[in-house]
Amino acid sequence: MSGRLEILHVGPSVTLQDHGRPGYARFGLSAGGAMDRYALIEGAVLLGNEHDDAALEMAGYGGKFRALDGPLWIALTGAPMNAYIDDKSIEWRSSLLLHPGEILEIGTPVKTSCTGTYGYLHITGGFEVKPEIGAKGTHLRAGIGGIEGKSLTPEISLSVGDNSADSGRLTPVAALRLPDPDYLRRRTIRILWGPQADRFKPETRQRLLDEEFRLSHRRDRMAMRLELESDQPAFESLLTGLSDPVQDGDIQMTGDGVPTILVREHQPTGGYPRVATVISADHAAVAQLPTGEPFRFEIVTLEQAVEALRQWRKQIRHLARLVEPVIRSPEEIDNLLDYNLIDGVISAGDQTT
Amino acid sequence: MSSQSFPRITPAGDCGIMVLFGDTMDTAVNTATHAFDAALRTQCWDGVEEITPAIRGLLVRYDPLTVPMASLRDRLSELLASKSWLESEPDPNRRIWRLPALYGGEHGPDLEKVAEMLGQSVERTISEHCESIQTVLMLGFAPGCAYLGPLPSHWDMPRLDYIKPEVPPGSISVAVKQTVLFATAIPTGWRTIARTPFLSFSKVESPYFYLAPGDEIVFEPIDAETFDTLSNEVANGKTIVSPEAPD
Repeated sequence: MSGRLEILHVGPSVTLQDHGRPGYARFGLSAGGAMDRYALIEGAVLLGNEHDDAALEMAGYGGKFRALDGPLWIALTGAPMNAYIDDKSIEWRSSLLLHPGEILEIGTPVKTSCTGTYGYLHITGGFEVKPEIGAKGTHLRAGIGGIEGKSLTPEISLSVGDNSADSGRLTPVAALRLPDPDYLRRRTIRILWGPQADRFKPETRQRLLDEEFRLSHRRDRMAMRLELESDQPAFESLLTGLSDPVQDGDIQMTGDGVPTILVREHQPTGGYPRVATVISADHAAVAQLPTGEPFRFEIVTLEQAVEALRQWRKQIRHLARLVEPVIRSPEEIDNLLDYNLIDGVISAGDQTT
Repeated sequence: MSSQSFPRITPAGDCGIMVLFGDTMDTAVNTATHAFDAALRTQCWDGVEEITPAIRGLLVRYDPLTVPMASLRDRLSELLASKSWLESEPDPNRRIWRLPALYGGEHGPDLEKVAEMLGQSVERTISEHCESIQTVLMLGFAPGCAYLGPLPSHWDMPRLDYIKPEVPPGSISVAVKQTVLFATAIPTGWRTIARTPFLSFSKVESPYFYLAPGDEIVFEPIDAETFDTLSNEVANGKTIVSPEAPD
């Protein structure tokens, strides 16, 4: 089975994403990649895809899609969004078959306690694009990867990678689902103090822990600014220093005293003082926070951060064990156990954050 | 902070450690950073995933489930103590790039203003910029974007107090005794005095990035006709500059 997915209509921030391009920060290129790597791996597990298969990352809104040339197995992961096939509501975090001619419509994230910002649309075999600098994912800031280094536009069709019997890939045999992960409910983001934390007054640091915050609309794949309410004064702002290398999750204090969280496509170096850093285990959780939703920061120790990372990776390694058939029938079960086992070894074996 | 001594090791998040050699823009500090980077890269320690050098120090990204922070910090301390890094010589493996540059005109709209700020002629401004051997202090901000320096001390002019809309790839701009060389189209707050047809970043061809931290750059003035010829060659995928080894 191979084919194409036609894009009839698409939201403003839909990009092809994979695990990004680590290793080029010394040349001015941050790694990029999916904002939520857990969701990327969920898709690989549900469809038996490879580690480097790319999926569509949909920020806040998806679009309308149609299968061309034949049926396509798809899976939807990440933040649950309102989704329909020919106006019939479909289940999130599961795989299903999209028949030629059927219209898949993916709207805005659902308003429940388990919600987020980034949804992912996966396809068996992955989307087929030529890798650039070693990956297929779109790095918008650098203009590389994906489709011409940009967000998707309507009226194009995306090719699907070869997953025919002789490609050595698995073909799904039944619709599968995964349970909703807890991190989409997380509203307490764990942090460590940053490299320049001691340049800030103790009361500035305390305020970061005491107040409730919200992400503003000024957020993208590079950085997410916090929203300060009108009754909240700006934070202490310090003189910028020499540019140092910065990392995903760093919370820098911009010149106007608004904390800003750096994410995947951040500039590789920066001079704004960094007061704190989100722990690696909470990178997906912070990226998924809905705009305007209240959340808090919680300080942890390095030991706690490393232990949280250990648990997070374990959860990803064991994702394949959580897969269950959408419709259980005895004749499918043997086959499914087989399928899960292979997934566990190949697709979700050695993932990192 | 200034009372703290250098070099210094500072944890940065749960997967990073910074090694800092100073808190000013200083040639010895930058050379120490590049020398330590080169030494660290030959170590190939388990769990070290990426080393990113910048102006005055570097970031070591590691996997804390492979190597605990405390042991990595100890190994870094040991390596730091093994040598006087601040007395390092430039890397013998560095490369020298002679980059053609068209000064002034539409490609260097701020050249006259820069000459005026320096209180000297345009000719002298160009010759001082070309006579300086400029080191790649770091690559950052955008793919292949190189910060070069130092320029003579009287070139210590501030950045603009506004950001100019995108300048084209290859633009050569100056501020704070440094040159910034863009490989992509980018908005900037620096004054643009010239443009080179050489692009230090290509997304089509490995190795993708041509300049490395610690390399040296010498600009060579060219005329508009040569600029157009070389630009066409670059557009056709031709290599127009090959690096040389130091003497």
